[in-house]
Amino acid sequence: MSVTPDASRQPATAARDSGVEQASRFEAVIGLEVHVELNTATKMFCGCAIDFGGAPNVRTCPVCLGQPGSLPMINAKAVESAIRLG
Amino acid sequence: MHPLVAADAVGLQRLLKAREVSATEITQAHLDRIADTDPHVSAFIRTLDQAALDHARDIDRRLSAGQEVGALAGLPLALKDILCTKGVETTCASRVLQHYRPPYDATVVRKLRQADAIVVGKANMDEFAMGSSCENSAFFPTRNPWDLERVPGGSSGGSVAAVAANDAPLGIGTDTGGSVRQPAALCGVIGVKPTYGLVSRFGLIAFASSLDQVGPIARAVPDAALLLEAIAGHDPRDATSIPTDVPDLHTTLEAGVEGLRVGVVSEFMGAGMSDGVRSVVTAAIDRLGALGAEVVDVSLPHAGYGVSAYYLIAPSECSSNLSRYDGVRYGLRVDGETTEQMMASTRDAGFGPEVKRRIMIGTYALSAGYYDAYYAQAQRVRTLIIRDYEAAYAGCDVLASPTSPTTAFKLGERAADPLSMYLSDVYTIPSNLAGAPALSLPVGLDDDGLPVGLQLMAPVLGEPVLFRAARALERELAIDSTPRGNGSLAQVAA
Ligand SMILES: [Zn+2]
Repeated sequence: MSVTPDASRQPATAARDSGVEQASRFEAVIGLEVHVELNTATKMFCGCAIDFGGAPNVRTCPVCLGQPGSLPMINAKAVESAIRLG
Repeated sequence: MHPLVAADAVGLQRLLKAREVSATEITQAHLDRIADTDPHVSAFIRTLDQAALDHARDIDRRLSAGQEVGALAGLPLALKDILCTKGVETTCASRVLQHYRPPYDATVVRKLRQADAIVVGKANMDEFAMGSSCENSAFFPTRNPWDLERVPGGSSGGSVAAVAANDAPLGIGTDTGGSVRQPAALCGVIGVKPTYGLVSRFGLIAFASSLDQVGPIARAVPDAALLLEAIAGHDPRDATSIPTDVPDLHTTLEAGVEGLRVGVVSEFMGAGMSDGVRSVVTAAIDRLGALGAEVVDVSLPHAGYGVSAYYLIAPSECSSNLSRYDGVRYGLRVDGETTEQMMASTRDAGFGPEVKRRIMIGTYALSAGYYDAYYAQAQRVRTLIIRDYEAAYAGCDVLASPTSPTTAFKLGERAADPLSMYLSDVYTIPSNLAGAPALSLPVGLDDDGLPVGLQLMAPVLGEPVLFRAARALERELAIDSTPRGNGSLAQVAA
């Protein structure tokens, strides 16, 4: 969320402004950043499972570890879901 | 020279199938050859004697039991040290990866193992494939078997020198701007840059992802065809891999060039080429005409901008790809007081001067405010070059030019002048920008007795006609690919 001053209004001296007048000089612009966890079976760029609670470093592979030579493959289900979400 | 190391791959296969020799004998003969030659040539960063012999014995056991063996069974192969081999150090000839052991095999390596090729060693190269002489290896330069005081070319100089020195009948290199074809020309062997996407890049340590392509090296065209058929094919692990069948190169390999239209690229026959290269290449093109090909002149008007576009696109992609070498997860780490200092010190110690130069160029070209002027403009030039090729192929089956403007140059001769080194690849770079296949075929020697390569080019997925034209000329010229003459390997390792 961000609040920006409305440049079209004339500046007024601080002494004359009441709280309401002060607030009316701003225009509220509200944006929402929504995080959702997609119900894919595997990670975004590799075939590793996304399940939680396993032993450390078992659901990893050369791709998600960024090993030299590895290449990401985008998760088709994630792309489909993102398109459906708009 | 032992007859088994003088033989080509197809000949060795015939002997193995007839059970006249064993895979172990073939492998041992090549390991002995490496022991004789490599003190002079320095083609290998490491040899894999034990693993090679173990694999060969396994092949022999299967042959004795009447079991299946792969398409490259028992054929020794030099593998560029840019392809990941599980558990075996893969360095990219860089200090930053000096002791790196990949936890996985590259797709090409997996296919080679499945085909039962015998990987005899990891071959030297310019660091991260950046260079045209093999002098940018962090470890040592490789030498040209035709003249040990000269460079083998680069960046796949180790794999190519190994094949030229009869250390192996087959080699694997990678070609981003000419890195298979230019050394193949300078060492008198065959080097192929396949269509972008025909061979998987998974496990190939990235330099410039939109240009890199794995390619075969051999001393005979049928051998190169055999190797390409074994490594090509769709890979679901590489998003740029073409979902197409493995090309059938053998059906038309011996079909000759009669009726083919060969376009000679005018822009690649101008100034900047040595007289020796010009006369040998012109004679080879005349022979294609004598064999029944129709030889015509064609123009690629924008090809002259290829080097400039390449030296913006390739460093830009390199600066991104090499950002992963930060000392955190793998490879070299130089300690520092803060994380940032550790990363800076690691990269300072880990990368050589040419790699640093390209990271700087690429980072600058991609930075805010310069992106449109440099990277985006270079991509527009790339589109123009692709259109030039399309227009040329409307009237031609293949195109021809020299591979390199000169024959092999002396060690140190161009090391101090990056621009003169970059111009080594002036005729090879446009094919990478267009994503199209090309190969270099040895077609003769210049007055100094050094090999000259002819470059043949074809449209995307035009490998069958490319190999067909190369094979026809190879048969006609019957070139002896054994390095010989003053200063050559023949004088120190018969
Ligand atoms: Zn993974």
